[in-house]
Amino acid sequence: MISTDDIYAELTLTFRDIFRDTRIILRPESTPETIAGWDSFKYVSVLVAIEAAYNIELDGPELDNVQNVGELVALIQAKAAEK
Amino acid sequence: MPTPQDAIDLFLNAARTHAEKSAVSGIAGDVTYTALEHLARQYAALFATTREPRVLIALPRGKHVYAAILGAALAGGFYAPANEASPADKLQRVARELQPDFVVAPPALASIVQQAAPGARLIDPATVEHGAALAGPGQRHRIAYIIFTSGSTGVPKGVVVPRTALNHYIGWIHTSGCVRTNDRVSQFNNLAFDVSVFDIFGALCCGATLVPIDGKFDRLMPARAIARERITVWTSVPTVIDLMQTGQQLTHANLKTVRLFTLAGEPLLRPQLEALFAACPETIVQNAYGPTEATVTVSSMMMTAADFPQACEKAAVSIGPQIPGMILHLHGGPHPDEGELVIIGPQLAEGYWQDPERTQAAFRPIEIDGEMRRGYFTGDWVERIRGLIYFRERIDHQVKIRGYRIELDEVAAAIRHCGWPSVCVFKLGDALAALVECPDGQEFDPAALRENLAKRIEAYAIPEHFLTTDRMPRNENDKIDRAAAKLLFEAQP
Repeated sequence: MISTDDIYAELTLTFRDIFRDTRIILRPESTPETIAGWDSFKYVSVLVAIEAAYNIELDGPELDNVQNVGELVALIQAKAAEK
Repeated sequence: MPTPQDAIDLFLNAARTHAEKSAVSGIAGDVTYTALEHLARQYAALFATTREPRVLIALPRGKHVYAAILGAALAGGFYAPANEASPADKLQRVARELQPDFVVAPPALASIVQQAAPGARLIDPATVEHGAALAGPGQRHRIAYIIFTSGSTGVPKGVVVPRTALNHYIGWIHTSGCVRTNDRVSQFNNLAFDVSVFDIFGALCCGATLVPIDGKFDRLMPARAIARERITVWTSVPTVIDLMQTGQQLTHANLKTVRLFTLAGEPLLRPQLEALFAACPETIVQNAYGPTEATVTVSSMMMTAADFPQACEKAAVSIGPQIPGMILHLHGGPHPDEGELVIIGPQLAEGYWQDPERTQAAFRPIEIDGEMRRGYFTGDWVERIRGLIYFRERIDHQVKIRGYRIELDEVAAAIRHCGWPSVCVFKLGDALAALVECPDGQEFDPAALRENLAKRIEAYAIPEHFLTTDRMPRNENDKIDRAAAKLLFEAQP
């Protein structure tokens, strides 16, 4: 199983690349409100990058329940483990 | 043209004819026409305890919101939708203006709204399904709905749409074939955006199936929702096409079920159209135009992959000719094919809620073929080329810079022509400024843009200041948020 540390590291790079902000540090409690420049287009870009990086397909109900980065990381870990 | 049928009667007929068919379908499950009619009658029974009830509805997309809308009409009242995702302050401003008799909203939200309308009775959707149902055909108010739009002073402007206008519009949706009985119609637009009227009444008045697209993920990845729900009629602002592209979902596999895309609410750009037809060459795309004051849309440009270039003579795609029964008159221009667009016909709103001054300013008599008619002066400057109307700019986007009169939208159109499709131009102090959307990896060279612009517009109209942004700020209806764009500029050191 991929470790949460590895996912945080990968996800941080993804966010920094998409938001073009090298200062971003992701924490479990990070939300759209705490990340400057968050909008639907950037969120979609993040999701597309996650799907490509982990070769998983996210879907509606499971992502609708995600409230913060910690839950997103847990979802990625669970989906990657299902493969 | 025969008098259009009452929209609520059409729904009741559809409920009789298609009793066991899904009226609403989606992740939350299917609801038959019989069940939706019963729920609407339960709402109506609650509302009918007050004469001519005013019903403010702030619910997520789904069976309760549709039933509450229909129930308000059956009870002899009207509805005013509010976007439940709006800030509390905005919802309160709407409630303060309307002073509703009923607020239908989740309990926590309803109590916030009620602070601005203390006389309103709160209806918790969770309790309605245990109540009695109103029998019979019900009553009808002359008003169908009031949609509040942002007013320039910060006080929301309530556009009062009469039932006759709604009936005319719904009649056109069906006679034009925009929605047919076998369709599965998306309900992506937020309730407070009047294009939702196309979705809701268009589907439920002819026995089609309405599919709410409400989940966070579905709204980010709408093309996947289209594929999963087998949507045949899609309606949204054109920006959603860009969102699909960003999400790498603009594919034939996702969109193949859609026979008609209706795009409205902001200018449709040729690159958006080309991307859509490249993914889905067999579909039809409708560019529809209309202000809330003329009941959703009053013009329609239907295009196929083969013929769309004929509607692309300008930066924004043609809004087409008028729909039957409506008159689009070009007023005050240098020749008959250019001017301010004035709309005449049965879809005109009554005016603005409790605001006769503003109503008189916008709805004025105008002579058409020797006869004085009531017209809505849109403030949109348009031109007609080979019978097709093209939006050019908002009249209130005209500014004076050092004595020169400049059309902000003309400058924006020139920048779009130079390869920057999303742009917002405004006056900043004594100069022109442009916020340009510059997606990841794209290099922006203001000197090169200025050089290109000099070939298209006068030197005095070339913006002095440029600022780039990853993503243009947009409001809750996905339209460019000019105030937020200006704030980005003002926040610069």
